[in-house]
Amino acid sequence: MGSVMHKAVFFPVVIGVWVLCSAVSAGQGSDPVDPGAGLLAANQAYTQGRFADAAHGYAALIDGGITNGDLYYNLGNAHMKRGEVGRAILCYRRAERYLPRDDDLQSNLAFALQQRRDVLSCDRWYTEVADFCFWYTGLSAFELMWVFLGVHAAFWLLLVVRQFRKHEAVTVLCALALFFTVLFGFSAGIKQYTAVFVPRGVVLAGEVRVRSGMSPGDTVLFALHAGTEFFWEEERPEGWVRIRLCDGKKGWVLDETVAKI
Amino acid sequence: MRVWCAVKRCCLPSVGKLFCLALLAAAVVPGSVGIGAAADVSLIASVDKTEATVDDFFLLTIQVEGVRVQPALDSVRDFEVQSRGSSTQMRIVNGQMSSSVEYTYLLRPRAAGRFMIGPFSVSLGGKRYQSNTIELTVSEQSRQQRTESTREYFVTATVDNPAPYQYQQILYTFSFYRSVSVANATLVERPSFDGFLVEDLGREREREQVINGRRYVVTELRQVLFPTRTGTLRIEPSRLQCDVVKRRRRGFPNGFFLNDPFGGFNETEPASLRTDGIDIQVRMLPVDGKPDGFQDLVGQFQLRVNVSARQVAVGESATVTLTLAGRGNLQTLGTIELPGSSAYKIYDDKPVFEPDATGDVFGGTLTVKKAIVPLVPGTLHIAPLSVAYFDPTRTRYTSAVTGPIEIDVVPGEESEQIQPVGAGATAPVKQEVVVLGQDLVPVRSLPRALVPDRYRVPVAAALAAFVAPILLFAGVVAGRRLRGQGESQRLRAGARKAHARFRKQTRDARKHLHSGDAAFYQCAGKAVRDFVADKHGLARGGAQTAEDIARQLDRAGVPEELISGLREVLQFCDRGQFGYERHGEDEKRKKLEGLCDMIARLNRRL
Repeated sequence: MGSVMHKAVFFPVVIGVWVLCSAVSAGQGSDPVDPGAGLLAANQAYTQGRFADAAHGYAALIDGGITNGDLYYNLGNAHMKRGEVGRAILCYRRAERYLPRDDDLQSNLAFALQQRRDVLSCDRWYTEVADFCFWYTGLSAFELMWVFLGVHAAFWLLLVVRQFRKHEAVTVLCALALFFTVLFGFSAGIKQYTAVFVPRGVVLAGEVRVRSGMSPGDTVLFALHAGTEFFWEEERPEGWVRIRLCDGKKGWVLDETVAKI
Repeated sequence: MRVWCAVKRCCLPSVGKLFCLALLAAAVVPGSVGIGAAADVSLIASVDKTEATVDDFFLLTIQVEGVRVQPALDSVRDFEVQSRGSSTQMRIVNGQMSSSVEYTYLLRPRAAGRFMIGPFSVSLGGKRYQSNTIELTVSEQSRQQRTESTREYFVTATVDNPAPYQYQQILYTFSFYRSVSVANATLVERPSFDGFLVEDLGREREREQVINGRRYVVTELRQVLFPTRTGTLRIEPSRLQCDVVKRRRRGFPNGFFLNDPFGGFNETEPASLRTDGIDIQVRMLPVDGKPDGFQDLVGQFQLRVNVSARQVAVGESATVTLTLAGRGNLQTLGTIELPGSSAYKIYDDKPVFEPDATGDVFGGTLTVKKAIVPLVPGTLHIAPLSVAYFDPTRTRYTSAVTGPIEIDVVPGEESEQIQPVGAGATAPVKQEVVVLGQDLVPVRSLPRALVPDRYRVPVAAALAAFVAPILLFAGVVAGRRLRGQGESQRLRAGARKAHARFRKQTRDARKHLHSGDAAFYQCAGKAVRDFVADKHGLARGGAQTAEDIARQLDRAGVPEELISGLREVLQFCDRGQFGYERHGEDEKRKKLEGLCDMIARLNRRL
């Protein structure tokens, strides 16, 4: 068991290095100016039906450096009340990064997704796998990373204990800790990797025409409408973005008509 | 030259050779023309018109000579651009052949104003060639302008009632009038009908109509709208795009050579037609006279009832079929209830609505079936049923009423009394929860909404948290190994020095060969004991007996004859040390020499 354990500790080290290499620290903006008053004014505007003012207020708070799930949620609501389905879904998805388990957010997001016009036939196996791996969807990237680091630390501490007390229970706990370290390490790594290297986007404009090339004269392949989500494959300084739908369709759109989640 | 020789050697007859030559020329000449023309690159941009309205198109043509590269349209930002393809033109002027490519685009204005498009450019060999610029004027479209400019074709959107009551149906008709041939007519923008329930009224239909002496073909799309809220509701404009077929001007020689000889005699011109928006003033239903249980039914309806059997036994079921038919918003009515009673039980079936979208009004039939199971014998009376609705033609509330329902209930074959489940009154009629509307969960005003959050982990903190446990484990392992190494090194060092120490101690013993006291025996015995202790990493100076040492040596695999020799010497020393034996100098020297010899052999083994 000792030689197996010594060999097995190699894997958490590899996984951990991979996970940490793909993690990027979140930048923090400058301190907001009078955020409490800004939030109050924005909420009042929302209550009074002045959704444009409410959206402007929430966006100002976010631009001021207060990025959290609640503000994105509120901003999504304001956009939704204005009928801007694309922007609403964009904000709800951003809020989902912070609040993956929030029922109100999921409810509003589901309502917004119902308003989309496009129907896509996508393979559902990956969503079923993600649903099965409830910790992957139920924890944010931040939480998942710290859970991984926690079980990782527990694993090494148990190994230290095992140096002094070679008991079967300690060995079993070491094996369990190793299993969860690998499990959460992979999950955290995949989540970080997809967040950085497989970004998603949302169509903001009412209708966008997806073309075969980066020219207004290129063939229109298909049209998408506000709220449709896609994979953000590539962006060019000329102002074009190459997108890919879940059913494999690809094309180029103007960057002003879409946004990255 | 080589090509000519290859052809000459070809085994084809002379006609075949000429054919090959013709093909060769056809392949080479355009290329040479192309190469020759590459030196003269020019771009010419032109439009079919310089003034248009916001609903119109400009047809932009960019003629590129000397190179086959599509120009970039980066400068066109105030228009929506749609490519219409390209065509190649070849000219022979004064024996000189030249070719050019025409790229055609549709430019649809995004807003009114004056705009400059171009220059359009291509790059070739590091050089940039540009076209001319064109100024376009886009004006807002007026109703009069539209009517005057598109008399050959136009679209309209109308409703039959601009001031209906809430839930009163109105007929929305989109009509496309044309007195010329059109192709590819597509409705690209349709109203969202926000605030209305929408039902299609059959498929599109065509008819002819003469207006001011001109015959039009009219295509109509009709929909029935039911306003769901009061106030002003706006129906947005619809927009239709089509290609209007026009006869081509053909002339000689330019028209013959420059135009596509396979394109026929017609060409198309794109058109975009838009209707006006319509404001609907929805009136609230009258409050006076509104009956209890009114379910927002507006129209004209009739209610009928049919019973499957007029006589049933207790416990057997009879089916009551209620049919509500007419014109109006029947599709919004859920079901029709029967009054409850302790004399019978009611089992509901799912209501079935069959729409009727023929004609100019929307209606249908709602069929509700209920199974009634009488519980007591006698005559079962069910009061006439009524469904209240508002008739907008008579501007009052009224009801569709059935006659009374009577069923004779005879005793059942079994004497068992059927008891309804539950105590007291009849159980309420169950029904599914119907979603009446959807809305967002409200915004948050919690203090945590002002606290910045993280969704990505700081790299430094994560690295520290990842590395720290590993370092701790590595430190513990290294520490333990170092301590073990020190101990074994100490043991090995002691073992290497054991023989040297023994020889030193025997030198001390020799000094006492002459003395008659116990010093010699003490030194010799101690030397043996210390030697064995050094070899086994034990503490020196221990009081091990001869038997203890013999056992240690036996465990170390020392031969028995060596062990017995050492045991004998130790016993000799013990007897001499503790006083009851004394030996002469020669005997002591002999024992000492033998001991040194055995220790030397033992040192080589251990």
